[in-house]
Amino acid sequence: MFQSKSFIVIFILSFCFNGYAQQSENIIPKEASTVFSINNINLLKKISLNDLVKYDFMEEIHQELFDGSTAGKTLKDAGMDFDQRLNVFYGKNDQLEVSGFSFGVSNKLALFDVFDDFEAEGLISSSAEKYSSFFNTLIIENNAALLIRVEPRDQLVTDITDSIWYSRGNENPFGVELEHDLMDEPEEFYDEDMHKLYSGVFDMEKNYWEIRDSILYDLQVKYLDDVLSDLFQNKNSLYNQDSRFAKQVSRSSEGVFYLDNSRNITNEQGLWYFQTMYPIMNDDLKELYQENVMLGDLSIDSNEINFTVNANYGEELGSIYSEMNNNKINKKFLKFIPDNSPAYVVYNIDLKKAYERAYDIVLPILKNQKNVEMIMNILAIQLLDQLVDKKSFFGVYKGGMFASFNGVEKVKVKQVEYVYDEENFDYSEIEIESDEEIPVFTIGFASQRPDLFEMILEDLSRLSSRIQKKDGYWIVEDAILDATPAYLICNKNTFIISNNRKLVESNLDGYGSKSLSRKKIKRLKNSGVLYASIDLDETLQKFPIDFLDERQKRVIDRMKGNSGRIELTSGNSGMEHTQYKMSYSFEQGGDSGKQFLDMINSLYIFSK
Amino acid sequence: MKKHLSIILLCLITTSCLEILDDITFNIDGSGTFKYTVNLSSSHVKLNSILALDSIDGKKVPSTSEIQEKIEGFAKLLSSQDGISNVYVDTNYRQFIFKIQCDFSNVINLQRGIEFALKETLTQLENEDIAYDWITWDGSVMVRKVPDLDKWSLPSIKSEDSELLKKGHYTSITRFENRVNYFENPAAKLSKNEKAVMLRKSAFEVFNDHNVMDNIIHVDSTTN
Repeated sequence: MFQSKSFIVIFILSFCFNGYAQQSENIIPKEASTVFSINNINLLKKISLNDLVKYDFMEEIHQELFDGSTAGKTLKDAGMDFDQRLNVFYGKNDQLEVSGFSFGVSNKLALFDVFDDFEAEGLISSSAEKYSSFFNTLIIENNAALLIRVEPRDQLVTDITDSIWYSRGNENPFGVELEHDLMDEPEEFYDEDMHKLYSGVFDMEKNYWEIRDSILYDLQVKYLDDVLSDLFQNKNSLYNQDSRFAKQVSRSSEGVFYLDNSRNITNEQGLWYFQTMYPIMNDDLKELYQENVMLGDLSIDSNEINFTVNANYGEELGSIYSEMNNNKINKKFLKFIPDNSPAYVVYNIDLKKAYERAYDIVLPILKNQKNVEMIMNILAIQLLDQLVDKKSFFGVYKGGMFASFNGVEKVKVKQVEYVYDEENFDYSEIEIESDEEIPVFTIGFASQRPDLFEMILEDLSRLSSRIQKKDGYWIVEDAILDATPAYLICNKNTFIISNNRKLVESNLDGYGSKSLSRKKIKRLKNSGVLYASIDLDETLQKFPIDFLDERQKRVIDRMKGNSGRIELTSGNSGMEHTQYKMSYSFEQGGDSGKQFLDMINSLYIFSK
Repeated sequence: MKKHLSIILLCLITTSCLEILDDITFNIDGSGTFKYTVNLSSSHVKLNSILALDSIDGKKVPSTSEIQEKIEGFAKLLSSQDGISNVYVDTNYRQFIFKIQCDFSNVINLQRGIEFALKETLTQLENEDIAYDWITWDGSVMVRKVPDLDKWSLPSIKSEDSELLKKGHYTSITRFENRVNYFENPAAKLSKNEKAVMLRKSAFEVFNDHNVMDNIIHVDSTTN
């Protein structure tokens, strides 16, 4: 709990440093690669802290901050300055992950009255006060506050632990005790069998997990210190280091978004092998992605939230994207999307053009490599380029596709029940039919080679009786969840996979007058490479969320109470950027603050 | 592999409509045959959709071959126990029906054998005392219960799944060579030949209160 001594320190400090107007966006660490900055936080005045903490972007700030003292309180009660921005950020490099938010403070006493677990720890620079609570650290510099958590990367902690563990002559901590095959996935031991590592032969000195905990703690302290001194002593903030962020955050829209993809790609640990084995090429490719940053604006009208994003990139990537993306919408797709589809997406890229441009750009980078393996790979790529008929190859899949969600359909499925003989209760199994709701989808791909699909299906049908040729289409019995058939249509320009019975029974050539209305087609045609439309009312209720991961399910659950339409459009791809726009229109009278947070939360989850 | 067990249990418990059938036949000398069937056929679409995922609730979804490996491991452990023989497993992944059957020389052997095999197979139960006499038989009186799952560290049932569980059933059948004189659970039924007792409740009732399946059956020990 907040101590009286700390209270006095805060009180005195609050009078010492109230002259200079620090802005919340200036105290975001340079390690942040994703930032949502909310300008008009008046919108959030009435949101209770209890409601706020339920959002995923608040999860990073850790919910132990939110206890009895925050119950029933709003941001206004917490002494926040509504004339400053609220910035939520996340980032990582090869050593650490950083998350938190920064905001303006108008009433420091009110802030500590609500967040009463913080203890004052003194100054970390001439103007920055540090407070700590459990795993969180709060820094207040003049009128701006930074709530931050810094965690070492899990892999780094493991690597250091392993290094110490094995240098002490220990055996594999997972292998001996658990009779573990080293080829198995190790993560399965981290939860359930952890207790085994705390007992028995490892008790003589610090066991593996104790060493790991020590390293974790040590790195946590070190990295937090490094980040804070760099930020508050050296004044190396994201704002100072990246002029693109500084420019973006100066915009007057209700919210702005900054995502530095170049750093996300560089810090992706899945690429460690590539980064380790081909460091020079990795550096070259880094250059290719150097300008890759997404900058977005969120604006609110009375019943619409618009999110505009500029996906920026360097000239070389730009030339690939321009070739790939700047194509007219594929009209052949549109007749297969019924007008009453709750959700549909159309995507139209030209892979052949993109391949040719990428070949011209990437091959010289690869040719810088003197490595034998790489030279052989380059040779293979060049030979394939010369020998393969690219027109035929890219004719099979040109790159364009569409998908539509057509609601749910009741289908008959079989289940087993038991019937009992009243004489002795002997029983036998009987099969009965029951109704099951199945989501109905159609996915189509642009292709000029229906003959190849026909050939493959023809051969496969000789192997399995479940694949049968019908008049104008193929059927694969029980292909979807072992319950309903999938239909395959090999049209002249489109290869379609669907479980929509109505499509093959009466709409093999398209839905005709029941396909997308002219008004919808007009909107679609105005878009560039990508267009998506989602009717929230219908889609959220019917979409099979079993297929989504837990975080995505939470987004859907949160959005379920909402209604309206989300539309995603893109502009043409230029040499430096492509613009995407997402608009979310909802009914008049909705709580725009809540809708705004819902939107930010969804974007945060999908961009993280 | 052990992590997969929690997901298997999760699937079983959160499956919309499950039917469990336990069937014990007793010989006069106290030996007998135990059959246990879990029928998830009414949920096979949902189960297929779960099996198509990589993970659910943050846990890896096992493949059917991994599930099969666990079931066969359980059967192998059971068959190695004293007084247990003829262990037979039947799995149907199209309809999701799982059956296990074994002969036992007495109910003590059966219960201890199942406990051992369960503890070895389910890591969650490793440090728990699951020893529980859910069946006793002295030649004329049989006391039958269902294990109290609340005491085990198993996934709890989400409230949204409770409604669906109401559609499922738990059926317990006990057969004797002799005639049954009477039984104490009024919800139970006697077969026409008077040698078998059946008790059937909704899965929801059983998961919430295992005592609803308790029964004491008095069997005529004087006649063959």
